[in-house]
Amino acid sequence: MIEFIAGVFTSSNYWFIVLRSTAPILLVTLGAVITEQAGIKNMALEGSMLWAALTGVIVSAFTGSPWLGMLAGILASVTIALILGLFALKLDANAVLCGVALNLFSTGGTVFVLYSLTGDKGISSSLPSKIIPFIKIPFVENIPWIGKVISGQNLIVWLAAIAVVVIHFILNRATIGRRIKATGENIEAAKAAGIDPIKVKFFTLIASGILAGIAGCFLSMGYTSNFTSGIAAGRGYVANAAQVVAGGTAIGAIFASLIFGLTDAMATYLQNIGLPPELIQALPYLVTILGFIVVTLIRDRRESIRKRQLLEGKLPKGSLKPAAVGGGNGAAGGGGAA
Amino acid sequence: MELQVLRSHGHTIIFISHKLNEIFKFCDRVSVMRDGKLIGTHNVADVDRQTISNEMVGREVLLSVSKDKAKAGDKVLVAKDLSYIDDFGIPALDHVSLALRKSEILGVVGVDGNGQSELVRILTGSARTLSGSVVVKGKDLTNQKPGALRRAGVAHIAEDRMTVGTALPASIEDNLMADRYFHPEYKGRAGFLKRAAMAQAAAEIVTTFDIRCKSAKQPVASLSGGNMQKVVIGREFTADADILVIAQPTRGVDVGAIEFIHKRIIEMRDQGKAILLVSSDLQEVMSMSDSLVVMNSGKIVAYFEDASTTTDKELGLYMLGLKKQNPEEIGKVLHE
Amino acid sequence: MNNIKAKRPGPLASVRLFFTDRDKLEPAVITLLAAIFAILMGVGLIFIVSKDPVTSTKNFLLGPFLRTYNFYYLLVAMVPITFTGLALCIIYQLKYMSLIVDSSFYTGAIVATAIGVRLALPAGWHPAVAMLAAGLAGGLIGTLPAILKIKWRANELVSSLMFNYVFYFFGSFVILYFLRDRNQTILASMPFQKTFALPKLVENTQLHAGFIIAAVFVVLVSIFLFRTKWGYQIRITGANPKFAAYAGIPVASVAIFAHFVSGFIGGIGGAVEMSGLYRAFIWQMNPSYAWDGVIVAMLARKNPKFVPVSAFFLAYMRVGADFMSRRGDVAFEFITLLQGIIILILASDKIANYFKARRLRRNALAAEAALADGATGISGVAGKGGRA
Repeated sequence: MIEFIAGVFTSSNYWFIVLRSTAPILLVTLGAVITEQAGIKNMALEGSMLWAALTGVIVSAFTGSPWLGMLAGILASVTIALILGLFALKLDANAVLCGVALNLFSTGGTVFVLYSLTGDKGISSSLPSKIIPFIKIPFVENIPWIGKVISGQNLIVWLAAIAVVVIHFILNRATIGRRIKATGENIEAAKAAGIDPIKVKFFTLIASGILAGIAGCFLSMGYTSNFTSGIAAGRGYVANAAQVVAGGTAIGAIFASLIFGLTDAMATYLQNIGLPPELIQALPYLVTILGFIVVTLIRDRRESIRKRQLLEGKLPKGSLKPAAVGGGNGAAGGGGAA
Repeated sequence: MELQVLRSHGHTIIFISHKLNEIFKFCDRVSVMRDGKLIGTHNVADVDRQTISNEMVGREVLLSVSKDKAKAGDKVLVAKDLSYIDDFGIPALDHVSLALRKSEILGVVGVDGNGQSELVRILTGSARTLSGSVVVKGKDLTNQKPGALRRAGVAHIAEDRMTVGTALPASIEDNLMADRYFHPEYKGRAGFLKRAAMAQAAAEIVTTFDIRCKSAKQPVASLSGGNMQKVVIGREFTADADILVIAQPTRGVDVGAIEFIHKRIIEMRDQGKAILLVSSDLQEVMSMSDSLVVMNSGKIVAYFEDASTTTDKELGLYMLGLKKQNPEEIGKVLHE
Repeated sequence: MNNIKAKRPGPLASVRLFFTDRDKLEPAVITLLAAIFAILMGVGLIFIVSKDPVTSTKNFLLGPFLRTYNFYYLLVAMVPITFTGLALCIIYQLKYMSLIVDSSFYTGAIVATAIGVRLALPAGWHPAVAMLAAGLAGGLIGTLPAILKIKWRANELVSSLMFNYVFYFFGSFVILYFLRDRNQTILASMPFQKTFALPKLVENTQLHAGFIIAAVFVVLVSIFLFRTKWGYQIRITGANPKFAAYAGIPVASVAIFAHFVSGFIGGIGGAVEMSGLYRAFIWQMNPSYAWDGVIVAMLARKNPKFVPVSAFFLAYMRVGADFMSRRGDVAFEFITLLQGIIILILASDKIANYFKARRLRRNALAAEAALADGATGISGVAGKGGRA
């Protein structure tokens, strides 16, 4: 068993699959992180991905262009995010319930549209859809091991890496990042500072829609080459759990989604040594829950130790981060003095 | 300080605070407001802290509350060395000790946000203390849940009736029964509730506490602030508790209701209850209390065994952290 | 003013109250409008995609009543969604969002299958034992998201959705490795014992005794929520958890217990479905009745009394859509799409309070006008709405 696992972890093929399985989860997790930082929970990410995956396939099949397909997929995904925003922010609906509704709408809606177009409810294989290209990197592909891991990945795997940088920049450097955090931490204070929280929340919803859209397109135009019903397979929900593990940062999102990616990739291997595939399929979801619990346990423990130290005067006053936000930067902290 | 930098750049700054230290540190001119009125404006350089605090506190006639002198009895609640650190890492409560005696109202004064809320929440089980103990009638109930403290005879009027003191969407009746639905007179066999008995009891409280409503079935949300507060007080004062922890009993309540509530509190004391009274209304605490503690920055800075021996001016100095008693004087609050 | 009668008003009075009390009438009207809107939207969709929209629409709207078989099928279809709807009423009364009932229901069906296949028990006892075991399993599973939320602040909806995948795969594993009928080409368990079947209510239809059991549970859950101390605790905790904790209600145990009861009902639902409708476990995928339960509970405004009505409505839509899709070119899934839209509408406070807001605005304007006319008296300018 140990030998087997060691064998898997040194295999370049395993890490190739890890990157491939992590990319879509990473993209949606970033989406969940950015909306959560603005104080709105986007539970409709699953639905966004479904629509993106389907729209991408349909539009690429009819136009012959994977790029137009992807653009349309992203637009579809953003539309779902905007509907969520419309109901949750403008019509005072419970955002989580809206998410549930939109996922139901999307699960049924995508199958309905697929059937109406193709007469098939399960898979879009009758549509001549296109694929987003895989990227072979000259020279790098010849490097032993590393080349096999990173060369030949889909463009979107690279996009996911870029997205981390972009979201990190948005959250930490740009003015909009400060606005997002201010809105998420204290909406009244944000308003007082002249920020329009609704606008900020819509901005994050659109961003999450774009990210989920890219991820959705990847699933049907790269990860696999068809749309199948329920193709998102709960990744939109996993993202909302991973978001907590990520602690509200883009870098954290990498680790959080790696938990899922590592397990997901391992599943393929475990199947080969005869473990029941059903149990293996359950593993990524189970590990996501466990990851969540462990991270929260560690955070709670660290916080209680710090409080004790504060009490005993070993730390300077006011050096605690607010617990609920989970690792938001101290920058916005001192605002509430008066 | 950033504010001074801003000023030197030519910005005009309006700084709103109730902390004198800040005013004297940052400001050039100061206006005092009370009850929505402008009381006075001074150049900070030309005015002393005493004058400002006098203006802040005001000199209105005390609300006349007629009460006899307290005949304080045995200690029923002893809290020792309580500490609390809030989520921002600020020690909101810093090793506070006090004791409550029967037939006595112990008032707590202090500028809002100096640890009073945390003290109340720890004494009633709504928050956990990081150190020390809470002993009720000889029983150690440190960091027990509110239910345990209520069973031990601690009733609690929460400072915020909208978010804690009531369940707004629930009916008046459900709100009044929330701490006693499991008593034998309301709970029948197999977990069934005696709804008729509950309705009866609720109706009685509605009458005795003069809660103005169409029906006890209507949601608390539909009541005015004063009547909402009467729901809270009606429940807590009929809870048959020996200890009453009362926070902001008359905040945002109309004058008529205030008088009513004050009378009830004195009645409770005369019945032998031990009462802790926290209020940001200085007049209220001074006129109601038999003894007083003053809190500043999470600590008790003064204790007056007889509340009538101090003045609002003197209290103001303690409240603002300008004066502090020595530990021995403060320690008398434990009556050891 | 304070002479409140402790006597409960008679049934007629409460009906009269319902129609005169606008705070109660208006939400009912909105709910009805949402349902009608969904049906109209469905018809619209049919006209967009169908080549023969008139027949399809007729089949969709009238299908359930065109044949007696269909009507009985409608009644049968009410059973599982009544169970999940009731289970979710409890969760929503608590103001939680967990969808763990899906796991409870599915695992309940698996447990019942195991008992139906493996155990030899006398008729009558057999399904009863299966229901009890399924209920316990469902109940225990049901507590998981509540425990995670209380101990580690995990969002209960997110964790329950994760668990739903875990238990779905685990259930399929159990069927495949322990209960599979290897003579079947499709995935199916071995056939149930004869004693496991619930009796049919009407011969030659699918209508089974589970319908009665569901009806009994409607009554039981109503009593549980409105007449017992547990229901009281749940409702108060849902109305304001901070208040409940302050009043001494053990909110953590209440939440966990409520989830247990909810899961218990879901588990029983799964067992009833198995013993009432099937001869073996043949689900190729999770029927996900919990998602239907969401809409049943929401249409019922989380009051178990109204669950049969909303379950009937949803079953009507589903049976109609099923009938239509079998005879035409419109996919059955469009019903799921409509369900999503109904929930969106019902979840929106602004829509739900539309009439009320309009009424309050009108009152306020009238009061203002009265003041402008110099009329005396401070008329009933109602303050804020009821929401907190």
